[in-house]
Amino acid sequence: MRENKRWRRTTAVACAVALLAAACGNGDDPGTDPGTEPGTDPTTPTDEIAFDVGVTEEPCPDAVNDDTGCIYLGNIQDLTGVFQVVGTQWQEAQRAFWAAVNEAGGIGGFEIDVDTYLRDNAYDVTQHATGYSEIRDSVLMLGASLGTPHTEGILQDMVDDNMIGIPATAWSGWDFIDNVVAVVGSYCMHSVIHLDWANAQLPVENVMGIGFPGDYGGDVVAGAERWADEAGANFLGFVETGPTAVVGSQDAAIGAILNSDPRPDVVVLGVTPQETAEIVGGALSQGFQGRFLGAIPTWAAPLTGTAAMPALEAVYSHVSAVGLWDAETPGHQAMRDALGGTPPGNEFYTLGWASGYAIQAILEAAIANGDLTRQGLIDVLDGLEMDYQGMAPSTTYGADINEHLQTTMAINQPSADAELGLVTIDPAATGPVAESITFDGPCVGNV
Amino acid sequence: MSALAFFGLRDRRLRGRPTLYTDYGADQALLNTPAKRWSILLVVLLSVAAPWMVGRDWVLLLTLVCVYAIGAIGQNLVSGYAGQVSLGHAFFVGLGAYTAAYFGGVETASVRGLELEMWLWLPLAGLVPAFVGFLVAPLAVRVRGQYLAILTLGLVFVGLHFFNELRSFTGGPGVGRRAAAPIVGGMDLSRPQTILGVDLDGTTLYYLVCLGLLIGFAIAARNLARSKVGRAFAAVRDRDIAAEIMGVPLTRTKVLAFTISSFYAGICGGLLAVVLRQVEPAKFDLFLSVEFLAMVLIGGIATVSGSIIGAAFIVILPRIVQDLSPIIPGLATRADGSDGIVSVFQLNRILFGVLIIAFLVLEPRGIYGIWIRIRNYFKAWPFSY
Repeated sequence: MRENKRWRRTTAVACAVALLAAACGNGDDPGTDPGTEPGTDPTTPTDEIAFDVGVTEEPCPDAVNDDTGCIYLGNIQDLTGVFQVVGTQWQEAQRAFWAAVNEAGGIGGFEIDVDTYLRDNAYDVTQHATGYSEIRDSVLMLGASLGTPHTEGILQDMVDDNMIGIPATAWSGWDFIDNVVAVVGSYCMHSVIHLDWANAQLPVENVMGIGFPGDYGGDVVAGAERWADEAGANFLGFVETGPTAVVGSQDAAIGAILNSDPRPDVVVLGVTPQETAEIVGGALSQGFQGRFLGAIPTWAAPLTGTAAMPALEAVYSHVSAVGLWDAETPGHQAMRDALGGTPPGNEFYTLGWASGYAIQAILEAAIANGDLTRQGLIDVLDGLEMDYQGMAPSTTYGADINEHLQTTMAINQPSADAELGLVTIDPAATGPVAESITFDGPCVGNV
Repeated sequence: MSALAFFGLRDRRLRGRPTLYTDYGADQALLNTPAKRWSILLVVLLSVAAPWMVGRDWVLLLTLVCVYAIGAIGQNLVSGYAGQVSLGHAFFVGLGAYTAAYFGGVETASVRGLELEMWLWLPLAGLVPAFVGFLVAPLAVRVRGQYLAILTLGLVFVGLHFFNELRSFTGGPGVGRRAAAPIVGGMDLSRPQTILGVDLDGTTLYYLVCLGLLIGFAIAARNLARSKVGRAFAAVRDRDIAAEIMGVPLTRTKVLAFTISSFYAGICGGLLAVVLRQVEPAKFDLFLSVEFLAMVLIGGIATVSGSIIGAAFIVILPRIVQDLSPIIPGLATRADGSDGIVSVFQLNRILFGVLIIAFLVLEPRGIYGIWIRIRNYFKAWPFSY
């Protein structure tokens, strides 16, 4: 009995020691330069390029050329949640973009990896925060961060880490926040340009906005209100709605259009494709004679097969900060070459591809400056020209957003013959309000 | 009792007979055997030392475990101990988060805030939901079973509507508002500080705060469970009509269960908001309520330890799957999952549902029940059955 007790005691102590030993230490992250942490001195420059966190001399896990180093980009996307149609396509575009860059030799002796530090946020703020915490010590910058409150939640950590990031959202507030590089015009500006174009066709005296409240629909409709203010038009109000799956139907929104006095000449939409079809089809069938102006997320190719398609072809137009996937520009051609001629899942692929050019410009400028550290990226941002290879107007990043607003965007129209259901009718629409408007803060929310 | 006696090191005659109690107090003690005392001491020491043993990402995960565990204890108090099915926990968590954000947050052009310190806004983050729970509970007393589940489910949707509409308090949908900063005595507990000569980064400091609060709330819940109130909860859970006949005040007991559970949920919400930094209404939806139920079911119903185990399991599982993904066959590497059966992210979602079903069917007592089986096996060894 005594021997049993001694044996049990010894076993218990040995197990406790083993548990303590197993719990000690971190796992090795392939993207972290051994021995360096944020804030320590960079490693010895290779070819006069200083680098530390998120950059290695060792090749990427699936490197094309084993003689190159590796730059690790972090991506926190919605891959399984409500906006997975955005996140999956954006991420696939990033993957294809950097694969093409790596095949062509990379940048400055480095290839770029966007897979190792990919995290899914499932459009949940908590998961976004934990995803960031997993990769914050291993990546040079965030290639994509999807979700406005999600990205705002990690902003303080990004500032602490000296990390910059590309938001995969078009909220107008990003232009006023450090460490975040918005690569396309905001939803607010989408509406301004779209209304300028519509005003040139119609004119527009009465504008109504219908959308989801928040950083998407709220931003879209706030842009419409700003346009109405600047152009002297009558803004009839923001009709808030929700996804049909949540609110049941869009009858309230349709009723708001039909019962409005005066009736709107145009209705600006900040909803998803399902609600677009319902609102446009429902309003037209009950005698509405105005037009509908939709932001990027209001269209999806499956709408071409719905009963609302004739109505959409007649009265709906679509605005996009980046030309449609079949546009004839060097950037679009490069994207099509990477796709092998197959259309992408949706136009968010095009946005994701275009964002690659912005990241490429940042990395190339930092390498040319000899400093591929996080601070080095921040140092080259002010005054940096982003060339999107024709996919969108070149912009110059800088402290004053009003000096580099995107004032031209593509206006598109539904077509059953087009691959993704849209054809461009004006590749560079603009107008007097778009060219003169200034912003001193976000159109919705606060920073 | 001396420390030696507490850890069973004094009287050699009684070692080997840990369940021989010589007074009522020892029998009713929270840690009534030396094994429990040693194991709790070890767990607490490991928990405190954890930030110096693991990376920052793991410290954040452990912080979330502590925060969610407080909420899970609240869920267990009402659903496990008192037997009242509640799907409305997410509403009280959200209410606590926004109460904390209002009393402790900064006022801006679009949202209000009073910028109070944490020692004020945290208790308020618990008291306000507790008061709302106190108001709602009499409705819940009148129904039971699936009707109670539907009633509490309605709370979540009503809460979402209010959170979306009260934009001067919540910031509105899609945008939200900044959470309150955990400031005590002018010191921000989520930023790097030096305490007693020890440099602590923000993540570690806030983790230790949450750990301390979890220990306090866990002891309080365990104490409640072994008290007269806890026995009333159990009586109402097992057979409420019989309990009422025996003199247990039914309405008061159920109202108390909802109120205390809502208090815990509010504290969880206030602490969670600090971790998230940006509090957005959509966070507090039905899925969050289901998560808390899953923590309780998977961890162990009607046990405080089970609540903590369940919270750890739910929070850490995605990270474990992520780390094991290289050796799991059929996992896709592409974001859209097209080069495999499922992506690691889809696998996480599938596992969540599968585990709830598996535990309900195979081990209704949860992980705690599995632990009890293992413990009893070795206690009875070599006469295990």
